[in-house]
Amino acid sequence: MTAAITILSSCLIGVAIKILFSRSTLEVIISASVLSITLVCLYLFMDAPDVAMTEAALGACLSTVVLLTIGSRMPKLLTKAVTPYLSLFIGLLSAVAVILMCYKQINNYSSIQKPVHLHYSNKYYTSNLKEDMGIPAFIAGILAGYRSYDTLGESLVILIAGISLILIINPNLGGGESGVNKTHLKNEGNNIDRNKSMLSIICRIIIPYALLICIYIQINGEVSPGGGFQAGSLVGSVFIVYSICSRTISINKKYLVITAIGSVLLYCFIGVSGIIFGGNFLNYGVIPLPHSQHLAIFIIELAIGINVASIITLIYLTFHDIRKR
Amino acid sequence: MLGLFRFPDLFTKLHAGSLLESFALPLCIIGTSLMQKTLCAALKNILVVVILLILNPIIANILSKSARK
Repeated sequence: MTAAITILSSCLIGVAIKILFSRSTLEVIISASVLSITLVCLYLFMDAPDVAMTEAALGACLSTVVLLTIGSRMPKLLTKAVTPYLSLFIGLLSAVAVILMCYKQINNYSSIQKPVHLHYSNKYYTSNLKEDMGIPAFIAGILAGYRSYDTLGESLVILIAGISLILIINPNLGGGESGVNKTHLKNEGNNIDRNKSMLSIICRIIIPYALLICIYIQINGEVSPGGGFQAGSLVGSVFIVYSICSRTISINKKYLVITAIGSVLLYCFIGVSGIIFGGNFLNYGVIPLPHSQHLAIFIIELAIGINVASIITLIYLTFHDIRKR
Repeated sequence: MLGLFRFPDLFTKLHAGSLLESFALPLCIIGTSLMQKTLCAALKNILVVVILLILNPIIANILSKSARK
């Protein structure tokens, strides 16, 4: 196990040096995708499947596709040389120096004697989670139970990021006059590109199973690795793949914004229902229903999933529409 | 694997790479599936093989077609 982690870490360093000394932006994008796939394997070996799923969907799929989309809109960007070698080399040397100086502290990151693991809240979580929340998964319990304020803030941040992106890139949606901001991709109808036809047929086979896996991750968020963020980012990636393959998709971006806002409102509604039944904000234990904690955590994970999926699809579609203006 | 580094141009390199990932890698994964303790884990490995066999030839096809233009 340690040998695998060492090999993957040295692969990471090699790919990072390759990124630094690559000749064009296209090469940088592809190498960054390789970097994030290596990171996925590393997270899996470190027993963090949640982070691995998120990294696979966001780092390897979304960021690569969005950067390639921007690059194909601006063809000069992909062939331009991007290497000021001297400053890069100085930066690399200083980073290596910093890591060498403090490697003794980060060496045994997983040691149980670290002060992070000895804090009393961790003991509280590990010993009391089952009877407080009624669910066996620690991450879902901490994320949607003990720290639900943080999660509310995170979903708000994602929402604000999507809305501000759409306001910067494509402000027509904010103007209110045009609800017809549809993304009719080119070649609608029967004349599908011969080059893409095989890909679209295969995607028609693959995509339902991918969506099935997303639903599985979403629903089993409380009992196994997974949950709202992971399922949402996977659904967003599936939508992106679908809109690349099939040329006939048309999604109104307004509906995506509405679903994102609605999911955050659903989250807040669960919080407020705690107040209504006489508890604190986001205290779901007081709701007079059987398994109220479990139910509320399930709804909150669902809200996070819808939020993340719609915002990711929104980001891709926003960059995709640049050429239309 | 050697062909990826030794072959001269993109198409021969693509030939070597796609051979690697649609023939050698599924054989390796079938081998690991025989080593698994439970049937469920072995079936998961077989599922990975099926996905690889579906996706990899398609990817090689698309890469070569887009390189020919």
